[in-house]
This record gives sequence, C-alpha cells and structure tokens, in this order.
Amino acid sequence: MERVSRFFRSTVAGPLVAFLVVAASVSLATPRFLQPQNLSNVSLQVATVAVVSIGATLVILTGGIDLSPGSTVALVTCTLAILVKNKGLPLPVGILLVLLLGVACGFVNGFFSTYGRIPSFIVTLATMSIYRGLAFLITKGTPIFSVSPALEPLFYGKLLGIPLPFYYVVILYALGSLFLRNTVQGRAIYAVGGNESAARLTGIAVNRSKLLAFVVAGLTAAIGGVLLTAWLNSGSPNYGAELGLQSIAAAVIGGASLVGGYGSMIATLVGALTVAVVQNGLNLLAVPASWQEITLGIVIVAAVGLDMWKSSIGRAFSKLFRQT
Amino acid sequence: MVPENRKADGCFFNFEGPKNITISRLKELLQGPFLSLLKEREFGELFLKRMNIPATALERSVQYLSGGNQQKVILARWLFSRARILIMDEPTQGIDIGAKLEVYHVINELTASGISIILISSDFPELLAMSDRVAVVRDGKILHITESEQMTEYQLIGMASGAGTSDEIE
Repeated sequence: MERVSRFFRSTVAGPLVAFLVVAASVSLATPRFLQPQNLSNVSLQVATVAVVSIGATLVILTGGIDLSPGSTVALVTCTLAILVKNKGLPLPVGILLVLLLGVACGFVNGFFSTYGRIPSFIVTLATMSIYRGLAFLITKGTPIFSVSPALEPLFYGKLLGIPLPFYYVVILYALGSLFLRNTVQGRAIYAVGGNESAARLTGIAVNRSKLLAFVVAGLTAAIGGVLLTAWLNSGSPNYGAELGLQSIAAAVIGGASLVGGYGSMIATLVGALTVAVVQNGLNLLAVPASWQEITLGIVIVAAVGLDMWKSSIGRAFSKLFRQT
Repeated sequence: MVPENRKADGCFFNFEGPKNITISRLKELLQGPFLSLLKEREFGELFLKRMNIPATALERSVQYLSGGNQQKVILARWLFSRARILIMDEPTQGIDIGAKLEVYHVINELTASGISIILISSDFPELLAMSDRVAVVRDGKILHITESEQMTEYQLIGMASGAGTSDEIE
C-alpha cells in the first residue's frame, strides 16, 4: 500500500494517469482516433505545442509566466516568410535570423520582468500584444503563402520512416531535461522558483536565472514558429493565437506549479501530448472552435486547481491507505 | 548566511535534503559541464549522517523535517560551502533542546576548523557560552566589545536593554 500512495505522490504519475484517461476516453468516443493516419496527424500536431512548452516550463519553474509565445510564433512565421520569399535570403540564414529574433523577444520579456521589476504577467501580456502587432505591421495584415519549397521537407520529411518533428521534439526535450537536471543553471532555476530569497542568500544570481528562462522561452517559441512555417509553408500574423495558453496548459497539466519550483520536462511533454489529444479528439468529434477554446480554458483551471488542492487530496489518499 | 527565518529565507521546500545542502557549492558536483547526481547523493548521505538528520530527508522534501532538523540541513549547507565567515541569525530560535545542543556542537566544530562565525542572538546565556567576544548592539550602533569571559549575563542584559550605559556598569 505504501507503494501505491508513493506512486500517487510521485510527480509524473498524475499527468500520466490523466493522459491515459483522456486518450482512452477519446478513443472510446471516436474510433477514428486510433487509426494510424490520425495518430500520425496527432504526432505532427503535438510538435509545435511541445516545443513551445519547453520555454513555458522554464519560465513557470522560476515562478513567472509567459503569455507571449503565441505572438512570438506569429512574428517569427511572418519574418521568416518575408526574409525568404520577399528578400530572397537562403533558408538556413533566414532560420538563423528568426531564431535570434526569438531570443531578442525573450530577452525583452525577461529584462523588463527582472531588472525592470514589472510582474512577468504584465510584461508578457503587453508583449503578447506588441509582437502580434509587429507581425501585422510587417505583413500589412495579409498572410504570405508558399514561402519556399525547401521548407516543407523540414516538417514532412522522414528519417527511418519516422516523421522529422518526432526527432526535433525528442532531441529538444532531452536537451531541456539535461539542462534542468544536470547543470548549475538548471538547478538555479528550480532554486529561484522554490524560494527566491533563500536563493539570493545562497549566492544565486536570481535575475540572471529568470532572464535566462525567458530567453530560452523566446528561443523555443521561435523554433515552434519555424516548425509552423514549415508545416503550413506560410506565415501569418494570425498564427499561433492558442499556443500561449496551450503551452501553459501543457506545463500545468504536467504538474508544474505556477508558484514555481515544481515541474519537469518529461511531465510537460506528457502535458503537451494531453493537450494535443484533447484538441484532436474535439476535432474528430466535430466540436466547433468556440467550444474548443472554452474546453482549453476549463482544462487549465482544472489543472491549476488540482495542483492547489493536491496536497489535501494526497493526504486524504494516504489516510485512506493507512486505514486499510 | 544562516537566516533568522529559516522557512522564508532558508529552506528550499521543493528540494530534498541533498539538493538543499549542495546548492551552496554546486561546482563541487561538476563533472565536465554537468552536475553528477551520484556525487550529490553521496555528499547528501555523508552530511545527513554527520549532522544526525533522519535519512528520510534523502528522498523527501525538507518540509517534512522538524524545525531543528531543517536548521541542521541549513548548517550542513554552509558546512558544505566551505565559506570562511558565517553569519548566523538566531540559529537556535524555535528548535528543541536536543537540536539546540547539536547546533552548538556544529558551531564548535566549525570554529575548530578555522571558520569564523558571527552569531546574532538574543539568548544571552547562549551568547556568553558560545562566543569569544561579544559585541553589544543597540539602536544600530556597536556599544561595546568585550571578551565574553569578562562579562556576566547581568551586564549584558543591562547594556542591551539600555538600563545603564556601559560606563555605569564598569
């Protein structure tokens, strides 16, 4: 019984159970879910959300929040489209430049929410509006289609019969996990989120750690943006609107605490899969977009709620097991 | 720095015991560019045993430890840090007698190994027993510095509370 209650207290167990329950109910609701064609669709859909969620997790670990990645994604798709299609830059150069753009976007978020002492919620709410506004500005509001024939293989290509996005996700999550678990900087991010004043008294550069989290979040949003551009072979200021909320949902469903200090890459990946399966399930069931957005909102509140109440739920569980 | 308020400024409740200790000198764990979690565990076991902290702290958050044991974890952190001067702000506040005694042992062990400690305390017998020298601070100023052997508890109380100036006592 001790083992059972320990399982309920472990960090990945909850998200994994939630994921399995969601996947099981979706496959019961619609038989099309488990068809190979659909499963490969889901695995493509999950790629962008999953990549963007890496940065969201880092920021949430420090106790901050980043609302802007969806807008960064939009700005990146538009910039990449313009650089490659209108300016005729080679694709690799264009990709490198938009990755730098993502880093810059993250830096602005991080700078103002640390050294600028404005709550990250407000800073990224503002940049969410600013970055998307910039995307509208540079495209004059019109999407740019068929950016480059060299783009699509980046997304639709396969290696050993497995779609490339799968490799991107695995590699980026492995790197993220290595960074968080096995580097001084990664540990510092947990420490800052766990107890900021203790971290300061222990000699950790608190602002620098937070800034780093935001910069990485900008970078992963940009990578997500490149993936989206390749996926749709186009750039549009309207892209990625739901990615900000989805990435936060992925981290939170994965058990990251909005207070900071708790969460892991693997758990967020499970969270991202859950988000993608929910979305795919709703699509298959032909649920209107409006209801999908409502569902996403409810899922986030439920996940944060579970996080806030889980210690009391956990206590109830262990009490139950001790009695039996 | 051992802060007065260990819950607010000392412990990382999202960390288990070993992580709470090694945070002060993560460099020690580096193997190439990466932290060795194996080494961390070894150090954790070593220090938990040395400080007589329950081994459950190896795998569980320090939030499940008693106040005294939490304080010992923080002391272990600074033992691990190899700092040369430590500032301890009320290190025995709100912990039980047994743990207090252990904290005193650790302080003696630290000073014996050549580390200087600035002990801030409002427990006068503790100050007199633990210190080489005592500085009385009142209203943000150092009033008086004496060898602790030359001072009695009454003199100390008198000076600290402002019942008399240091001249009168002498």
